[in-house]
Formats: sequence, C-alpha cells, structure tokens
Amino acid sequence: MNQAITLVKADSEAVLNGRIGRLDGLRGEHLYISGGTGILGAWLLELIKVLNESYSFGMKVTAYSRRARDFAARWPHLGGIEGFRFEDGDIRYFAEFPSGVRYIIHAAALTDRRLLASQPSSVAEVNGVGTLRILRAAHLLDDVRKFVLLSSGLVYGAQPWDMPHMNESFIGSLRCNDVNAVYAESKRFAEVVAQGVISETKLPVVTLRPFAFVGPYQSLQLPWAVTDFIRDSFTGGPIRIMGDGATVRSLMYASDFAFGVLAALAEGSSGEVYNIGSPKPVDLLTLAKMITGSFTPAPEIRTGLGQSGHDHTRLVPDIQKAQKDFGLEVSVSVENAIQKTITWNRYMRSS
Amino acid sequence: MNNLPHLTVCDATLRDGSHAYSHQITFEQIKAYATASEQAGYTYLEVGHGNGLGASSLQVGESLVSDSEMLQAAKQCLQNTKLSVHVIPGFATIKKEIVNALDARVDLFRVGCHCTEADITQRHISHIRAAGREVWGVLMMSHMASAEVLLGEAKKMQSYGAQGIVLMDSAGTYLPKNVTEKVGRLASGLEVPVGFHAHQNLGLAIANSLAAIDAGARIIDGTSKGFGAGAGNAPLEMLAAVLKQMAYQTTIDLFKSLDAAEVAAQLFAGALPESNGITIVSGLAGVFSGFSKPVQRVAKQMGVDPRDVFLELGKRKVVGGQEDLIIEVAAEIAARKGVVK
Repeated sequence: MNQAITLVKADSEAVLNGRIGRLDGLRGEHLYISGGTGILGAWLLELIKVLNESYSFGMKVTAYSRRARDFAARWPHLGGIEGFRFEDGDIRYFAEFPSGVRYIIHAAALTDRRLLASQPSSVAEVNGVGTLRILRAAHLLDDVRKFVLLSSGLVYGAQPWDMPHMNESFIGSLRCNDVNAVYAESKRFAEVVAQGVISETKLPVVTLRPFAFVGPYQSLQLPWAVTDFIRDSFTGGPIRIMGDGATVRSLMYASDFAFGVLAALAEGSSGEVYNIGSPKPVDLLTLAKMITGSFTPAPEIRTGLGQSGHDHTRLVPDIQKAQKDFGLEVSVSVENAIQKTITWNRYMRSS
Repeated sequence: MNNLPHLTVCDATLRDGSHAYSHQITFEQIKAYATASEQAGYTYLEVGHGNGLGASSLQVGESLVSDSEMLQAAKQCLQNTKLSVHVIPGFATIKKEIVNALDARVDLFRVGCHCTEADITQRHISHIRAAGREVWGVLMMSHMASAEVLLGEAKKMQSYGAQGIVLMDSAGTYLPKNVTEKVGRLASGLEVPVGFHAHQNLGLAIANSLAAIDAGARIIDGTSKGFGAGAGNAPLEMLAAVLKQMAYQTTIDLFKSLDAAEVAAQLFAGALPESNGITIVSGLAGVFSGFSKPVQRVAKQMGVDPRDVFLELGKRKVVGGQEDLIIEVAAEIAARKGVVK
C-alpha cells in the first residue's frame, strides 16, 4: 500500500507545483466536504495534505459521508492527520456545520448506475433534498466565502454527435417522464435549488459540472466503461464492447479534477456554472486498447456484441470558461492517467 | 456469408431437463450428454438443478447429484462449448454457490428472477461481473408483465452489468405476436443482446423462437428433444435444422445436433416431454412449466383433475418457488368437489 500512497502523493505534488498562488485564499481556512470520501474527496484530502505539509497552508478539513470513519481507518495516512475530521452522516438529514467553516464543497450524491436503476426515488432524495438541506444549513453560517456544488455533465442531456464540445450555454433535452433521467434530473434540480438560494440569500455558490474521471481511489466495481475495462483486464478479459467502440467520452485524471475543484473554491465566480473534465475526446475502442496494452498478455477486445442500431453517443466538455476563471487544465494525459490508475491498482492488489 | 445475424444458441437440456427428470439426472448422463452437446457445437451448455444453483431442496425437489459434481462432470467434457448455469438469488447465495461455480470455471452465469423483480439480481450480477465472468440477466414468467415493464426491468439488469438479457416464456403461454412485441421492445431499447427461451405447451416453441429472432433476438435457448419442464422447450435439433434452412449463422453442426438429440432420447427415455391435455391447460393458464410434475403428483393424491389445479394456480398468478400452493389449491378443489382421500 505504501507504493500506492507514494504514487498519489507524487501526483498531488505535481499538480500543485507552480500553481499554489491560485489557492492562496484557502490558507488557514476550515473546509467542509460532503461526500468527502469518494474519489474526489480522497484526492482533495491528498492535495490539502500536501498544501499543509509543503506549503504551510494550515487548512482544516471536515469530511462528511455515510462511512467517513471507515474511510479514515482504511487510509490512516489521511485519517490520522491532525486537522482532518471525519463525520459519519446521511446528507438527507444534514442539519448543521461546525462553527468556523467558511468554505464548502458539496459532493455527496448517489452516482452508482446500479442504484439509479434500483432506487431512483432515493437518488432523487439524496441528490435533490440533500442539496437543499446543506444549502439551507450553509445559510446559517456566519461568513461563508464559497460553496461549490458538484453537479454533473449529464444535466445537458444528449450531446449532438456533430458538436465536438459542449459549453455551459448548451441546452439539451431530457425526458423527465423517463426513470433513466432521474440522476440528471436530480442534478438539474440541485442546480436550480442552488440558484434559488443564491437569489434568496446571496450565498456564494459556484456550480461545477463534472464529466468523466479516472484515477486511484476509484472503485473498479463501478459499472462505467473505464472501470469495466480495467477490471476485466485484471481478470484476464475479454473486454466486451456492445457497440463498435465509436462512442466518445473524455477522461480527466483525478489530480487535475481535485485541483480544479479547489481552484473553483478559491477563484470561481459566485452564481456561475463551469464544466470540469477533459476536452480531449477518446472513443471506447481506443480506450480499451490503451488499457489492454498495459497487460501481458493483452486481453482480447470484443466489439459488436450488443443489439445493433444504437446511436453512438458523445460526451466531451468545453472547459474554456474554467480555464479562464480558475486555471483548470489537463496536466496528465489520458494515456498517463490510465497507466497511473492501473499501476495504483496493481500496488493495491499486491499489498 | 449473408447479412443475417450470428445467433448464440444455448443448450439448456441439462438444466431445464432436470425438471422433467425430477432432478435425478446422473453423473454419467451429464457426461454423456455434455459430450454430445460439445460435438453439436452449441455455444453454451447450461447444467444444474432445474431451478438453478443451490435450488436442490425438499420444496422444489432434491438433486441426485450435487451442483459441484454436475459442473465438474460437464466441464471435463467441454472445450468449445462454454459451461453456463442458471442462478436465482435466494436459492443461490454469493458466498457459497456463486463462489463455488466460479471455482468450477463456469463461463456464463444466467441470473434469473421473476420478471418484475430485477432488483434482487443486483448483487449477484455485480459480483459475477467483478469476478470477470460473463453474466446475463433472465426475466422469468415474462408473460406476466407488459413490454414496457419488461424493458424497465431489463434495463436494471443491464445497469448492474448484465451482458445479455433473456426473456423466458416459462409457462409456454406466448403466441408469436406476444414474442414479437416483447422481444422487439427489448431489442430496440437495450444495448446488450436479447435472448428468448421458449416452452412448447401450445406447440409454438419453434415458431416463437423464430418470431423472437425476427424481432431482434440474438440468443436462442432450446433443449435436445425438447427435454425440459412441462411440455418441454424448443427442440434444438429442429431449431438447428430450421436455422440452417433459413441460412442463419450459428456454430451448430446440424448432423451432430441430430445425433445429440438421439443421445438425449436414449439417456432420458421415458421422461421426454410430450404434449397432453395437462400441459396445454398449463400453458393456457400461464403457470410455470416446472409445476407440471408436482401438480400431477398432488392431483393424483387428492383425486382431483390436474387441469383444474392448473387453472386455479393460473388465477392466483403463482410463480416458481410457490410450489407449496399446489397442495393448498388441490385440497380446496377436493373439498369443493367433496373428494375424500
């Protein structure tokens, strides 16, 4: 496990190198992270650890999630840090922040596709009602400087195939009478609630719309293409692609994602909405080859296994606005991101 | 080569046939038939208790041979044909049956549930996918739900990681138009391939299988000589002949398929399904084909007409796992008719 921790630490140092100035406003602050133990939460803690140890930021963090204490025990290099607190709780019943909190990242959400299918009303409750609860609690604090809401790139609905990148002004369509839209609709609801709270209370909320990510701390049990491909490669394959592999996504490495969220916290403009993700497209077949190429022997890739006639889909953000306002950038290529993720999982498997 | 799709043909003889044999299939029968199935070139051979892994019990019938022994016997006879199992959460647990089957190098797990209860398959499907094995979802008794409901449940299974979805006409009650509607809805709404598992109660197993293929199914189930529950399934040897005649691409060797049917006829002589008044009424009533033998047994004990029992079970919309209701229903009919036993 030490090698895995070392890899993440090196990546955290790398992403912060030369960019500390953007985060200066966070020095000495107490940051509250809901959903603080997922992939994003873990990386935020890793970056803040480096900020505190190498740059004397003196930040305190409270990480809140359903199993925050389990996380702290699982990862003692984070769980044992003085100034990092781990609170168990359910966002649907969130009531109160600790005093002194002035910066908040709300990342708690149900995102697992399996839950979206089985418990859609719970998804609506956690993602929608949970957001309302934490926004109202934030309003009760004395001096909130910034509240970052993690929404989703899925709020746009389907990206037109001939549109290379979606920017924040694109308005797609969702079928609100389709249960499969519950996740995207819950995030749309969260966004509009945030705008309502801004209107009513002037709470400084910045909304981020994340796209796809990959990296250490990401569970390979999640049924997403990249996690599926990596997991199936570890078990010897084959990788099964239902279509022809032309569906397009983009992947941002977790360290860039976490830096972007911290930078938005420090420098994002209240009331604004920003895409966050990689603008570099990658089709599923290329991604699968990228992954299998890291295994010996390379697992077989099978395509065309599904029902024919399905349209290819595309989901790639335009991130110029975030680049301009708070310096979001892709410092780790998708190839390196995949390689690092596989290496981290190898370390974890051998420990 | 033509433009017709390649079909995956699944041989369920050693699983669905278990119902027809009161789950008493022997180790030697498994080896003999598995060898024939391999030679016939079926894509998958499904093996096990009729209700799947872990189902051997007093309630639904005890297997003569354990799950592990069945899988071991079949696996040693298979090279190109892959080994598959039927899994119903509740009968099969992850810690015991699934783990054992993974160890037994089962290639494909078909995780089934009543057609409106896909939620119960999440943990099993997710676990098997995490282990890197192929897993499909199976919606049983699919005549009991509308096409829209079936699509919703199938999408759940797809989201859990299922790489194929099979609709089962467990009661043998479908007409071709029903198959066209339901399979067609799934084929147009799912990313993963769709399959169909027919029963022969109304004599439509082959016709319904063809309707399914026309509607977009890419996976077709059958059994040699139709050896399966109730009136049996789509006879694989006939399916092989028809598919060849229609120039569909499969991995089947027709003559070897015909030979496999003869092997099944010899191995399971006396227990091969046949159409009769009881199986026809069972199909009309929409009752799970696996109820056939216990209904006939109980009806005989109670001195009532098994067709009445089937009709009453159909009214109550019973599903697999509710076998204990057979006695209750038969007793009520006996009481109504003044039958004293």
